[in-house]
Amino acid sequence: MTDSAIVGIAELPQGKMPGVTPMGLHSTLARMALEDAGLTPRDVDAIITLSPRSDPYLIHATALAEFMGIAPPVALTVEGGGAAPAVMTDMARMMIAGGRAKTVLVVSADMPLSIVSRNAYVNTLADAGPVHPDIERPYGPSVPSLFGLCAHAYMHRYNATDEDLAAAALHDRRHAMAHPNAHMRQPMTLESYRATQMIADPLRLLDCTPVSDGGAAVVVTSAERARDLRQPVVRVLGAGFCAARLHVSAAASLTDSGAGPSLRDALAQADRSAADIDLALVYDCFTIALLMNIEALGLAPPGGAGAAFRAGEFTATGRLPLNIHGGLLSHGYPGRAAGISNLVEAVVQLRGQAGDRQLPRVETTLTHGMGGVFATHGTLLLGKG
Amino acid sequence: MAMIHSAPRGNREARPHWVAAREGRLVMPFCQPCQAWNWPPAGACPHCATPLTWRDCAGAGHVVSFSIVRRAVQPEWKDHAPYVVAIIELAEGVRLLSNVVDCAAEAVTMGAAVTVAFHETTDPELGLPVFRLTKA
Ligand SMILES: [Zn+2]
Repeated sequence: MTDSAIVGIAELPQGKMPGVTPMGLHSTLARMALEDAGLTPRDVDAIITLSPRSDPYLIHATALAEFMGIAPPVALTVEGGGAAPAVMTDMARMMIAGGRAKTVLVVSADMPLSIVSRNAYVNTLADAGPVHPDIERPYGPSVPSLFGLCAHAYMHRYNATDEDLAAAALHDRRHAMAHPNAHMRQPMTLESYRATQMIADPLRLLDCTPVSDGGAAVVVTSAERARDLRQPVVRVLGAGFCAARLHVSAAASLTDSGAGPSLRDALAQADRSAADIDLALVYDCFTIALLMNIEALGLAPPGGAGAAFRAGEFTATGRLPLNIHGGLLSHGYPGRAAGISNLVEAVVQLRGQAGDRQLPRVETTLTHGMGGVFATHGTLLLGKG
Repeated sequence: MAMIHSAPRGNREARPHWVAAREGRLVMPFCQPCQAWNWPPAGACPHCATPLTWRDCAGAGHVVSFSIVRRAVQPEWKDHAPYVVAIIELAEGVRLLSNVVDCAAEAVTMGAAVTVAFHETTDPELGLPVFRLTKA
């Protein structure tokens, strides 16, 4: 397969973006990412977007092309939940490998905070999110309560406590405080975590992500062409996907996130082993999601992720730096676009452009995304040129 | 007072489940050749494509896991928080998501024995199976 590379990226500070429109945000991110690569909008021959909840169109990607005044022959809007960043990047690879496109622009952004309002967004999630519209919705499950079911089962199975959940939240917050684009940057302590209200036992407010305006854009082209462009080359080494079911009601286990096969397949495609991974960015829409995904990916033993956080194993200087951008929990949760920042942070680190956050040695990164309540998983492995 | 739930969608695969609940019965879809339950209902068995039959369950089960919703999101639930959303495993071996009702939310425990009860909905033809803690 023709190797692909990520040659352009763009991300703005996540949070509230007053005065910005969703299309304006998409367009700005797109132009910034192309500029970053040393390309122009006219170079784009394929666009891939998600359908933002804040801004529905018949074909969002085509609407974006129209907005930007370009007419790429391919414009696709995909549905992949939180696994979408891996889905979109892999689609870009396949189009490049198959000769369908040379320059693929991926834009993933949403404005649930400024355009929809936080409460309205949370309400839409209950009706058009991971809740089964027939057999679950009549019982009033909120999204946090579906993750709460998993958290309760996890705590029961492993004798875990709220300190394990808090360890994930505290880790993300500590790292977000050092990231200029992170949404949640005020300090958090175990005491301040515990002082927040229960949303859906055993999950408190700080076990849940904030709701953010934000997102990012990424430009993908062939690795060969990447060498002639502006930035250090970051290759897409491998991608892996898995999905066992969509709804919690169909889950065989409430304590296994099921992410494992996505990493196994990505490693096989990349011809790498887990020991090669220098940085992991793992999907964490709730603290329990971070613990369970880390364990399913084999990055900590079952029931051991909280202890690994407390031991400092996942800090920038630890055994395996993880979510050093603050994760969704503190970097931000831009609605449909959630997870794209995992990809951006990996590229920034592989390029060596992370400034004060830069890790000394990053050759291979893992970025993981998850759709639904532990329903689908997409894992990407990126590597230095 | 038992709340009147918003009616489930009555024109989908789960309709026999809701209709039976209105009559005070708990029925779940079952594949005879596979001897396996199928929930969420798919109409036919996903493994062998045999049409599913709706089989009566006795209504006894236990709490596999639960969460207490403190902040309801759906309008009809706003005045009812806190309430308990739970995964129930019936004695017959099939799991379903439901509510544990008629007790303090804090009284629910992991593994607690529960018994089915039936609530009315805004559709007079459709009921909703819910669960109560089984009295020792
Ligand atoms: Zn069958």
